[in-house]
Amino acid sequence: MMVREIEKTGIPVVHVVSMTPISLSGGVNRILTSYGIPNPMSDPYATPQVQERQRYEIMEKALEVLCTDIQEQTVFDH
Amino acid sequence: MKKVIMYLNQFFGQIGGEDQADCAPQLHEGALGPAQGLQGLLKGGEITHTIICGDNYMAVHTQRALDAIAQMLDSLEFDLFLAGPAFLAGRYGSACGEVCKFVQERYKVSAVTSMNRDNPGVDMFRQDCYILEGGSNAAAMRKDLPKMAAFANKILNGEPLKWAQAEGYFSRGIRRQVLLPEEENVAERAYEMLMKKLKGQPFVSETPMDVPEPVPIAKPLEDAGKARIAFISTAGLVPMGNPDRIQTAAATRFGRYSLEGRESLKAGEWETVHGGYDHSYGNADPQIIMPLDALRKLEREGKLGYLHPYFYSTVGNLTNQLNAERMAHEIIPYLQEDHIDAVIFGSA
Repeated sequence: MMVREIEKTGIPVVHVVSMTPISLSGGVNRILTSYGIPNPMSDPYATPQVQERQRYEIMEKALEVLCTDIQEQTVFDH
Repeated sequence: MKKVIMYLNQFFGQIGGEDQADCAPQLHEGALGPAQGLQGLLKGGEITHTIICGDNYMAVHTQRALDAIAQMLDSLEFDLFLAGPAFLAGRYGSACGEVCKFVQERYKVSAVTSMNRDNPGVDMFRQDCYILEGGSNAAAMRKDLPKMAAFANKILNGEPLKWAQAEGYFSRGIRRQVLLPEEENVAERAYEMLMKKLKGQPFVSETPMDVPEPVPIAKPLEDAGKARIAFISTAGLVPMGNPDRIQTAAATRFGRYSLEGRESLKAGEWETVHGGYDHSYGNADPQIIMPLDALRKLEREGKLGYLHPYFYSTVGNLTNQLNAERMAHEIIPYLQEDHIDAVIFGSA
Protein backbone atom coordinates (compact mmCIF):
# COMPACT_ATOMS: atom_id res chain seq x y z
CA MET A 1 0.00 0.00 0.00
CA MET A 2 1.11 3.52 -0.71
CA VAL A 3 0.36 4.67 2.84
CA ARG A 4 2.79 2.20 4.33
CA GLU A 5 5.62 3.22 2.04
CA ILE A 6 5.19 6.88 2.97
CA GLU A 7 4.97 6.18 6.69
CA LYS A 8 8.16 4.09 6.44
CA THR A 9 10.03 7.33 5.70
CA GLY A 10 8.93 8.63 9.10
CA ILE A 11 6.19 10.94 7.78
CA PRO A 12 2.96 10.24 9.69
CA VAL A 13 -0.01 9.51 7.44
CA VAL A 14 -3.70 9.56 8.29
CA HIS A 15 -5.71 7.29 6.00
CA VAL A 16 -9.21 8.71 5.51
CA VAL A 17 -11.14 5.69 4.29
CA SER A 18 -14.50 4.00 4.41
CA MET A 19 -13.36 0.37 4.21
CA THR A 20 -11.33 0.41 7.41
CA PRO A 21 -10.83 -3.41 7.57
CA ILE A 22 -8.83 -3.23 4.33
CA SER A 23 -6.76 -0.40 5.70
CA LEU A 24 -6.14 -2.39 8.90
CA SER A 25 -5.14 -5.54 7.02
CA GLY A 26 -2.89 -3.38 4.85
CA GLY A 27 -0.98 -2.35 7.96
CA VAL A 28 -1.98 1.33 8.14
CA ASN A 29 -1.42 2.90 11.57
CA ARG A 30 -3.66 5.99 11.70
CA ILE A 31 -7.08 5.40 10.16
CA LEU A 32 -9.97 7.88 10.07
CA THR A 33 -13.39 6.61 9.01
CA SER A 34 -14.79 8.57 6.07
CA TYR A 35 -18.42 9.23 5.13
CA GLY A 36 -18.64 6.64 2.37
CA ILE A 37 -16.95 4.98 -0.58
CA PRO A 38 -18.07 7.32 -3.41
CA ASN A 39 -18.33 10.27 -0.98
CA PRO A 40 -15.41 10.14 1.44
CA MET A 41 -15.49 13.70 2.76
CA SER A 42 -19.20 14.45 3.25
CA ASP A 43 -22.76 13.16 3.06
CA PRO A 44 -24.00 13.98 -0.45
CA TYR A 45 -27.61 14.13 0.74
CA ALA A 46 -26.87 16.90 3.20
CA THR A 47 -27.27 20.56 2.18
CA PRO A 48 -24.23 22.28 0.65
CA GLN A 49 -23.78 24.27 3.88
CA VAL A 50 -23.77 21.10 5.99
CA GLN A 51 -21.39 19.37 3.58
CA GLU A 52 -19.02 22.32 3.80
CA ARG A 53 -18.99 21.94 7.58
CA GLN A 54 -18.54 18.15 7.30
CA ARG A 55 -15.52 18.59 5.02
CA TYR A 56 -14.02 21.07 7.44
CA GLU A 57 -14.65 18.88 10.46
CA ILE A 58 -13.26 15.70 8.93
CA MET A 59 -10.09 17.53 7.85
CA GLU A 60 -9.79 19.13 11.28
CA LYS A 61 -10.17 15.65 12.75
CA ALA A 62 -7.51 14.34 10.35
CA LEU A 63 -5.08 16.94 11.71
CA GLU A 64 -5.99 15.92 15.26
CA VAL A 65 -5.30 12.25 14.40
CA LEU A 66 -1.90 13.25 12.99
CA CYS A 67 -1.14 14.89 16.36
CA THR A 68 -2.26 11.82 18.35
CA ASP A 69 0.33 9.54 19.88
CA ILE A 70 -0.75 5.93 19.26
CA GLN A 71 0.77 2.64 20.35
CA GLU A 72 -0.95 0.38 17.82
CA GLN A 73 -3.06 0.59 14.64
CA THR A 74 -5.99 2.81 15.57
CA VAL A 75 -9.29 3.61 13.85
CA PHE A 76 -10.75 7.04 14.64
CA ASP A 77 -14.31 8.18 13.88
CA HIS A 78 -14.94 11.46 12.13
CA MET B 1 8.93 -38.19 -24.95
CA LYS B 2 9.44 -34.59 -23.83
CA LYS B 3 12.86 -33.32 -22.86
CA VAL B 4 13.77 -31.97 -19.46
CA ILE B 5 16.96 -30.24 -18.32
CA MET B 6 17.97 -30.09 -14.68
CA TYR B 7 20.10 -27.61 -12.73
CA LEU B 8 22.04 -28.63 -9.61
CA ASN B 9 24.77 -27.05 -7.48
CA GLN B 10 28.22 -28.53 -7.02
CA PHE B 11 27.19 -30.49 -3.95
CA PHE B 12 24.09 -32.20 -5.31
CA GLY B 13 25.81 -32.51 -8.69
CA GLN B 14 28.42 -34.62 -6.85
CA ILE B 15 31.42 -32.52 -7.86
CA GLY B 16 32.33 -31.63 -4.31
CA GLY B 17 31.53 -29.55 -1.26
CA GLU B 18 32.45 -26.00 -0.32
CA ASP B 19 35.87 -26.42 -1.99
CA GLN B 20 34.11 -26.69 -5.36
CA ALA B 21 31.65 -23.84 -4.80
CA ASP B 22 33.60 -21.68 -7.26
CA CYS B 23 33.29 -24.07 -10.20
CA ALA B 24 31.90 -22.67 -13.44
CA PRO B 25 28.81 -24.20 -15.10
CA GLN B 26 29.26 -27.67 -16.61
CA LEU B 27 26.93 -29.59 -18.86
CA HIS B 28 26.51 -33.34 -18.41
CA GLU B 29 24.48 -35.70 -20.51
CA GLY B 30 21.74 -37.58 -18.74
CA ALA B 31 20.52 -37.36 -15.14
CA LEU B 32 22.92 -36.99 -12.21
CA GLY B 33 22.35 -36.98 -8.44
CA PRO B 34 18.78 -36.07 -7.49
CA ALA B 35 17.96 -35.87 -11.20
CA GLN B 36 18.28 -39.67 -11.27
CA GLY B 37 15.66 -40.02 -8.56
CA LEU B 38 13.46 -37.55 -10.38
CA GLN B 39 13.87 -39.37 -13.69
CA GLY B 40 12.15 -42.45 -12.27
CA LEU B 41 9.14 -40.35 -11.28
CA LEU B 42 8.65 -38.43 -14.51
CA LYS B 43 5.92 -39.59 -16.85
CA GLY B 44 6.29 -38.61 -20.46
CA GLY B 45 9.56 -36.75 -19.89
CA GLU B 46 13.23 -37.60 -19.94
CA ILE B 47 16.05 -35.69 -18.27
CA THR B 48 18.46 -35.36 -21.17
CA HIS B 49 21.04 -33.12 -19.50
CA THR B 50 22.13 -31.89 -16.10
CA ILE B 51 23.81 -28.52 -15.62
CA ILE B 52 25.98 -28.15 -12.55
CA CYS B 53 27.36 -24.86 -11.23
CA GLY B 54 29.08 -23.88 -8.00
CA ASP B 55 26.91 -21.75 -5.70
CA ASN B 56 29.60 -19.12 -5.17
CA TYR B 57 30.30 -18.89 -8.89
CA MET B 58 26.63 -18.23 -9.61
CA ALA B 59 26.41 -15.68 -6.78
CA VAL B 60 29.59 -13.77 -7.67
CA HIS B 61 29.70 -14.12 -11.47
CA THR B 62 25.98 -14.29 -12.15
CA GLN B 63 26.03 -12.82 -15.64
CA ARG B 64 29.04 -14.88 -16.70
CA ALA B 65 27.39 -18.04 -15.36
CA LEU B 66 24.12 -17.29 -17.15
CA ASP B 67 25.98 -16.54 -20.39
CA ALA B 68 27.77 -19.89 -20.13
CA ILE B 69 24.47 -21.68 -19.47
CA ALA B 70 22.94 -19.93 -22.47
CA GLN B 71 25.77 -21.24 -24.65
CA MET B 72 24.98 -24.76 -23.45
CA LEU B 73 21.22 -24.47 -23.87
CA ASP B 74 21.05 -22.57 -27.16
CA SER B 75 21.75 -25.72 -29.15
CA LEU B 76 19.54 -28.02 -27.05
CA GLU B 77 15.83 -28.64 -27.35
CA PHE B 78 13.87 -28.97 -24.14
CA ASP B 79 10.31 -28.60 -22.86
CA LEU B 80 10.83 -28.08 -19.15
CA PHE B 81 13.58 -26.82 -16.87
CA LEU B 82 13.94 -28.02 -13.27
CA ALA B 83 16.30 -26.78 -10.54
CA GLY B 84 17.06 -27.96 -7.02
CA PRO B 85 15.40 -28.72 -4.62
CA ALA B 86 17.33 -26.07 -2.69
CA PHE B 87 15.73 -26.60 0.77
CA LEU B 88 16.89 -23.83 3.11
CA ALA B 89 20.24 -23.26 1.38
CA GLY B 90 20.27 -19.53 0.64
CA ARG B 91 22.91 -19.41 -2.08
CA TYR B 92 21.52 -22.51 -3.81
CA GLY B 93 17.98 -21.13 -3.60
CA SER B 94 19.01 -17.81 -5.16
CA ALA B 95 20.95 -19.68 -7.84
CA CYS B 96 17.95 -21.90 -8.70
CA GLY B 97 15.67 -18.84 -8.86
CA GLU B 98 18.17 -16.89 -10.96
CA VAL B 99 18.61 -19.71 -13.47
CA CYS B 100 14.88 -20.52 -13.66
CA LYS B 101 14.03 -16.87 -14.30
CA PHE B 102 16.71 -16.62 -16.97
CA VAL B 103 15.71 -19.84 -18.74
CA GLN B 104 12.03 -19.01 -18.67
CA GLU B 105 12.58 -15.56 -20.17
CA ARG B 106 15.10 -16.64 -22.80
CA TYR B 107 13.55 -19.93 -23.98
CA LYS B 108 9.87 -19.41 -23.06
CA VAL B 109 9.91 -22.78 -21.33
CA SER B 110 8.37 -23.36 -17.88
CA ALA B 111 10.89 -23.54 -15.05
CA VAL B 112 10.23 -25.14 -11.69
CA THR B 113 12.26 -25.22 -8.51
CA SER B 114 11.65 -26.11 -4.87
CA MET B 115 12.70 -24.32 -1.69
CA ASN B 116 11.85 -23.99 1.93
CA ARG B 117 9.53 -21.10 2.84
CA ASP B 118 12.35 -19.30 4.68
CA ASN B 119 14.84 -19.54 1.81
CA PRO B 120 15.59 -15.94 0.71
CA GLY B 121 15.28 -17.16 -2.89
CA VAL B 122 11.52 -17.50 -2.37
CA ASP B 123 10.86 -13.78 -2.00
CA MET B 124 13.42 -12.93 -4.66
CA PHE B 125 12.00 -15.18 -7.39
CA ARG B 126 8.47 -16.30 -6.49
CA GLN B 127 7.06 -13.93 -9.10
CA ASP B 128 9.38 -15.20 -11.81
CA CYS B 129 8.94 -18.98 -11.75
CA TYR B 130 7.16 -21.82 -9.99
CA ILE B 131 8.77 -22.41 -6.59
CA LEU B 132 7.31 -25.44 -4.86
CA GLU B 133 7.30 -25.41 -1.09
CA GLY B 134 9.99 -27.79 0.14
CA GLY B 135 11.58 -29.03 3.34
CA SER B 136 14.41 -27.45 5.25
CA ASN B 137 17.24 -29.88 4.46
CA ALA B 138 18.25 -32.77 2.23
CA ALA B 139 16.40 -35.23 4.48
CA ALA B 140 13.26 -33.82 2.82
CA MET B 141 14.48 -34.95 -0.61
CA ARG B 142 12.23 -38.02 -0.42
CA LYS B 143 9.19 -35.79 -0.08
CA ASP B 144 10.24 -32.87 -2.26
CA LEU B 145 11.26 -34.88 -5.33
CA PRO B 146 7.89 -36.65 -5.76
CA LYS B 147 6.18 -33.25 -5.33
CA MET B 148 8.39 -31.76 -8.00
CA ALA B 149 7.81 -34.76 -10.27
CA ALA B 150 4.02 -34.58 -9.87
CA PHE B 151 4.01 -30.89 -10.77
CA ALA B 152 6.46 -31.43 -13.65
CA ASN B 153 4.26 -34.24 -14.98
CA LYS B 154 1.29 -31.90 -15.11
CA ILE B 155 3.26 -29.41 -17.19
CA LEU B 156 4.74 -32.12 -19.43
CA ASN B 157 1.33 -33.59 -20.10
CA GLY B 158 -0.40 -30.25 -20.62
CA GLU B 159 -2.72 -30.66 -17.63
CA PRO B 160 -4.24 -27.43 -16.35
CA LEU B 161 -2.47 -26.02 -13.30
CA LYS B 162 -4.50 -24.87 -10.34
CA TRP B 163 -3.78 -21.97 -8.03
CA ALA B 164 -0.72 -21.71 -5.80
CA GLN B 165 -2.27 -23.19 -2.66
CA ALA B 166 -3.77 -26.16 -4.51
CA GLU B 167 -0.54 -26.97 -6.33
CA GLY B 168 1.83 -26.26 -3.45
CA TYR B 169 3.88 -23.48 -5.01
CA PHE B 170 4.43 -19.99 -3.62
CA SER B 171 1.92 -17.50 -4.95
CA ARG B 172 3.32 -15.57 -7.90
CA GLY B 173 1.02 -12.63 -7.24
CA ILE B 174 -1.06 -13.42 -10.31
CA ARG B 175 -4.85 -13.57 -10.27
CA ARG B 176 -6.33 -15.55 -13.12
CA GLN B 177 -9.81 -16.81 -13.77
CA VAL B 178 -10.00 -20.58 -14.10
CA LEU B 179 -12.99 -22.69 -15.00
CA LEU B 180 -13.29 -25.79 -12.88
CA PRO B 181 -16.30 -27.79 -14.08
CA GLU B 182 -15.85 -30.43 -11.42
CA GLU B 183 -15.87 -27.88 -8.60
CA GLU B 184 -18.84 -26.34 -6.87
CA ASN B 185 -19.63 -22.98 -8.39
CA VAL B 186 -18.67 -19.76 -6.70
CA ALA B 187 -22.13 -19.15 -5.19
CA GLU B 188 -22.08 -22.58 -3.56
CA ARG B 189 -18.58 -22.10 -2.22
CA ALA B 190 -19.39 -18.62 -0.92
CA TYR B 191 -22.54 -19.98 0.76
CA GLU B 192 -20.57 -22.80 2.42
CA MET B 193 -17.98 -20.33 3.63
CA LEU B 194 -20.61 -17.95 4.97
CA MET B 195 -22.39 -20.75 6.83
CA LYS B 196 -19.10 -21.78 8.43
CA LYS B 197 -18.39 -18.20 9.40
CA LEU B 198 -21.85 -17.76 10.94
CA LYS B 199 -21.43 -20.97 12.93
CA GLY B 200 -18.02 -19.85 14.12
CA GLN B 201 -16.35 -22.76 12.34
CA PRO B 202 -12.95 -22.43 10.71
CA PHE B 203 -12.87 -21.69 6.99
CA VAL B 204 -10.18 -20.88 4.47
CA SER B 205 -10.36 -17.81 2.23
CA GLU B 206 -9.72 -18.48 -1.45
CA THR B 207 -8.11 -15.08 -1.87
CA PRO B 208 -5.97 -14.62 1.22
CA MET B 209 -4.33 -11.24 1.67
CA ASP B 210 -0.63 -11.25 2.39
CA VAL B 211 -0.46 -9.71 5.84
CA PRO B 212 2.39 -7.27 5.63
CA GLU B 213 4.95 -6.58 8.29
CA PRO B 214 3.81 -3.72 10.52
CA VAL B 215 5.33 -0.35 9.71
CA PRO B 216 6.80 1.50 12.70
CA ILE B 217 4.29 4.12 13.81
CA ALA B 218 5.57 7.54 12.79
CA LYS B 219 5.78 10.13 15.56
CA PRO B 220 2.73 12.40 15.79
CA LEU B 221 2.92 16.06 14.87
CA GLU B 222 3.59 18.40 17.77
CA ASP B 223 1.52 21.21 16.34
CA ALA B 224 -0.57 20.90 13.19
CA GLY B 225 -0.63 24.70 13.08
CA LYS B 226 3.08 24.64 12.27
CA ALA B 227 3.06 21.47 10.14
CA ARG B 228 3.56 21.19 6.40
CA ILE B 229 0.84 18.91 5.04
CA ALA B 230 0.30 17.19 1.68
CA PHE B 231 -2.88 15.59 0.37
CA ILE B 232 -2.84 12.34 -1.63
CA SER B 233 -5.86 10.48 -2.95
CA THR B 234 -6.53 7.12 -4.56
CA ALA B 235 -10.13 8.02 -5.36
CA GLY B 236 -9.26 8.92 -8.95
CA LEU B 237 -9.99 12.66 -9.05
CA VAL B 238 -8.34 14.21 -12.13
CA PRO B 239 -8.68 17.40 -14.19
CA MET B 240 -11.55 17.11 -16.69
CA GLY B 241 -10.45 15.01 -19.66
CA ASN B 242 -7.94 13.00 -17.59
CA PRO B 243 -4.80 14.54 -19.17
CA ASP B 244 -2.47 11.95 -17.60
CA ARG B 245 -4.67 9.09 -18.74
CA ILE B 246 -4.78 7.53 -15.27
CA GLN B 247 -6.22 4.04 -15.70
CA THR B 248 -9.65 3.31 -14.22
CA ALA B 249 -8.32 0.06 -12.75
CA ALA B 250 -4.89 -1.48 -12.11
CA ALA B 251 -3.39 2.01 -12.32
CA THR B 252 0.29 2.40 -13.05
CA ARG B 253 0.32 6.21 -13.08
CA PHE B 254 -0.52 9.08 -10.78
CA GLY B 255 -1.16 12.76 -11.44
CA ARG B 256 0.42 15.74 -9.69
CA TYR B 257 -1.99 18.65 -9.80
CA SER B 258 -1.24 22.21 -8.80
CA LEU B 259 -3.27 23.85 -6.04
CA GLU B 260 -1.48 27.16 -6.33
CA GLY B 261 -3.89 30.07 -6.34
CA ARG B 262 -6.86 27.77 -5.80
CA GLU B 263 -9.23 28.13 -2.87
CA SER B 264 -11.55 25.31 -3.87
CA LEU B 265 -12.11 22.67 -6.56
CA LYS B 266 -15.06 23.41 -8.81
CA ALA B 267 -17.50 21.06 -10.48
CA GLY B 268 -16.95 20.82 -14.22
CA GLU B 269 -13.19 21.31 -13.92
CA TRP B 270 -12.58 17.90 -12.33
CA GLU B 271 -13.88 14.39 -12.80
CA THR B 272 -13.33 11.03 -11.17
CA VAL B 273 -12.06 8.10 -13.22
CA HIS B 274 -11.93 5.40 -10.53
CA GLY B 275 -13.50 2.29 -12.08
CA GLY B 276 -14.81 0.88 -8.82
CA TYR B 277 -17.54 3.25 -7.63
CA ASP B 278 -20.35 5.55 -8.76
CA HIS B 279 -18.88 8.83 -10.03
CA SER B 280 -21.97 10.99 -9.70
CA TYR B 281 -21.12 12.54 -6.29
CA GLY B 282 -17.49 13.20 -7.13
CA ASN B 283 -18.33 14.71 -10.51
CA ALA B 284 -21.06 16.89 -8.98
CA ASP B 285 -18.68 18.12 -6.27
CA PRO B 286 -14.97 17.27 -6.54
CA GLN B 287 -14.48 18.47 -2.96
CA ILE B 288 -16.33 15.39 -1.73
CA ILE B 289 -13.04 13.68 -2.68
CA MET B 290 -10.45 16.43 -2.26
CA PRO B 291 -11.76 18.96 0.30
CA LEU B 292 -9.56 21.87 -0.73
CA ASP B 293 -11.86 24.58 0.66
CA ALA B 294 -11.69 22.97 4.11
CA LEU B 295 -7.89 22.63 3.95
CA ARG B 296 -7.53 26.27 2.88
CA LYS B 297 -9.81 27.43 5.68
CA LEU B 298 -7.79 25.46 8.24
CA GLU B 299 -4.63 26.98 6.75
CA ARG B 300 -6.08 30.52 7.03
CA GLU B 301 -7.12 29.86 10.62
CA GLY B 302 -3.61 28.71 11.50
CA LYS B 303 -4.77 25.18 12.34
CA LEU B 304 -2.82 23.78 9.38
CA GLY B 305 0.63 25.30 8.93
CA TYR B 306 1.12 24.98 5.19
CA LEU B 307 -0.55 23.03 2.41
CA HIS B 308 1.80 21.48 -0.17
CA PRO B 309 1.05 23.23 -3.50
CA TYR B 310 0.24 20.00 -5.35
CA PHE B 311 -2.07 17.11 -4.67
CA TYR B 312 -1.34 13.62 -5.91
CA SER B 313 -4.04 11.48 -7.41
CA THR B 314 -4.31 7.92 -8.67
CA VAL B 315 -6.86 5.13 -8.81
CA GLY B 316 -6.80 2.54 -6.04
CA ASN B 317 -8.79 -0.13 -7.83
CA LEU B 318 -7.21 -3.58 -8.34
CA THR B 319 -3.88 -1.81 -8.12
CA ASN B 320 -0.93 -4.14 -8.15
CA GLN B 321 1.07 -4.00 -4.93
CA LEU B 322 4.35 -3.34 -6.71
CA ASN B 323 2.88 -0.45 -8.70
CA ALA B 324 1.40 1.04 -5.52
CA GLU B 325 4.80 0.89 -3.85
CA ARG B 326 6.56 2.32 -6.89
CA MET B 327 4.11 5.23 -7.15
CA ALA B 328 4.59 5.97 -3.45
CA HIS B 329 8.35 6.01 -3.98
CA GLU B 330 7.94 8.40 -6.90
CA ILE B 331 5.83 10.76 -4.77
CA ILE B 332 8.04 10.64 -1.66
CA PRO B 333 10.90 12.78 -3.14
CA TYR B 334 8.40 15.60 -3.90
CA LEU B 335 7.25 15.47 -0.28
CA GLN B 336 10.78 15.45 1.09
CA GLU B 337 11.86 18.27 -1.19
CA ASP B 338 9.09 20.45 0.27
CA HIS B 339 9.88 19.31 3.86
CA ILE B 340 6.42 17.81 4.30
CA ASP B 341 5.72 16.76 7.91
CA ALA B 342 2.53 14.73 7.44
CA VAL B 343 0.15 13.40 4.80
CA ILE B 344 -3.63 13.24 4.64
CA PHE B 345 -4.40 10.26 2.42
CA GLY B 346 -7.93 9.95 1.11
CA SER B 347 -9.36 6.77 -0.42
CA ALA B 348 -12.70 5.92 -1.97
